[in-house]
Amino acid sequence: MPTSDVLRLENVNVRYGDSAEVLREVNFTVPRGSFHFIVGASGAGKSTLLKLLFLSLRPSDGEMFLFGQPVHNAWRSRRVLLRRHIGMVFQDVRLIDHMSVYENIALPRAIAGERERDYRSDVRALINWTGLETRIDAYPPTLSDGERQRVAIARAVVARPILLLADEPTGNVDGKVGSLLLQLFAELNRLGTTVLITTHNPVEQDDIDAQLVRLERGRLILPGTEAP
Amino acid sequence: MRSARLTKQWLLPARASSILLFFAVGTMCYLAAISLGTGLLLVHAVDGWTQEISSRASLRIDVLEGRDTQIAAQQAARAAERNPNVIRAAPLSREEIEAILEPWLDTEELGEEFELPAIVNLRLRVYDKQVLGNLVNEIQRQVPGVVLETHDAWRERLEQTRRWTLAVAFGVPGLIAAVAITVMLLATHVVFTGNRPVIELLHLLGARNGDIARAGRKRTFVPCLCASVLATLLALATFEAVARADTGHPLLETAANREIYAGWLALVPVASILIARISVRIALIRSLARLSRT
Repeated sequence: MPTSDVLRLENVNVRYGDSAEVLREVNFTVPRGSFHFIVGASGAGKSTLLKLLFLSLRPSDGEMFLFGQPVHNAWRSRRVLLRRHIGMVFQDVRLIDHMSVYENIALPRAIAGERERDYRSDVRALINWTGLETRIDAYPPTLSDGERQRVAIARAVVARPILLLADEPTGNVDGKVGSLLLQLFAELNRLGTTVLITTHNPVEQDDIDAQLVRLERGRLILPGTEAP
Repeated sequence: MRSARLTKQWLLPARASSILLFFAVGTMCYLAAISLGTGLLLVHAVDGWTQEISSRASLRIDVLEGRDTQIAAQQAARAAERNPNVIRAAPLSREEIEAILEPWLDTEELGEEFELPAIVNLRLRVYDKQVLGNLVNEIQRQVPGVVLETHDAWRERLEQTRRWTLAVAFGVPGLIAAVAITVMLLATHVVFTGNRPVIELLHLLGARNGDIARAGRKRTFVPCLCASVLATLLALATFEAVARADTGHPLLETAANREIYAGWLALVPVASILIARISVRIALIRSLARLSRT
């Protein structure tokens, strides 16, 4: 992509119907290759912000640019195609129960219309990288929470996204597994993927060079600035 | 190794819905093929009967005082045979006429002296009312009082039977197709409602409605193809079995003439696949559009 900013939000407001604004006057730029933690209490608007960044929600006001292109008014079909360049780890993981670990991870590539022989080695490499070699044919209901999260991460990066979003990825796992998952995100970031994680309780990781952004009552507070 | 297989089972665990679709389409195709084949055999039989009675007519020579009806019948037969449209003209014997009149007259009690009208059976090349009118005028000039009797009333009834049989032969498969479309629309809607979380996820992972619809269509194509081909073969086997059953019934024996129905039956799988694909496509796009809105 020609621009060095993966994402830029300018004066973005989001409200659902006639209700009050969930996100207010958000100005936020995400440079390529950066790692951001978005921290906030429950109800602060983290999930809404992530939906917005994942293009499953439009801003009510303001402008939004993804990979240098305006997307705030983009048609649904264009947003769906752009979404193929964004990896997402959902808070509730969202694996398909009737598909194996391999099939779940391969899904974004299959959706993009690729043939299996073109992605088979990538999927297997990701399975090895996430330590799921012995669970390749297992189905999600038989996996532990940590394993499910690792499958979700592998699925989110299998299409080599430019931007990786994760909604509370460590929320449902213990501290040890959470730390392991963050190591995976850090490794992806070192390989060039821009990572943005929302969490209400950031785990201290000395080896992750991440920026901490706070979200309070719909307002984004960047490092070095104070809430109005 | 299962992990090596293609990632294509996006929607619902496939087996149950595929088996259901297989049996539903198979049953409907079988019923449609049987209805169509039976109807076409009946139409063929009706055509045969119509052709048979169209090639036959008879001349009635009524009793006239001072005229020998048998001699008049011979004259009428000769006059008729001179006409190029008449293949054969055969006066009936008194015994044959008595046999025909037996249901109406107690012919056993009739004495030899009781004069009966004479009848000449005609075998015609073509059935044409104008040609027949000319023929009877020609004969009447030589044998006055000759009456031509055709089978118009029967022909009309057979024509009517033919029309109704054809309507039923194609109407029943049409109704079956309508039911099949309704079932497919409903089933697709139910399946999509049940798969709503999966479809939402597919949308989030970058699948367009067309991609999901394609996956759905793939799912329906193979069971529909297998079921409709098997059902048609089964229907052909049924007709073959009927033909070989040695029932002695001429109508059932016509089932041996495969050329009457085999071509039409071959269209059943093609039609069923087309119907399945079109109805599933409509249902998929409608369901996906509805899911996308919500």
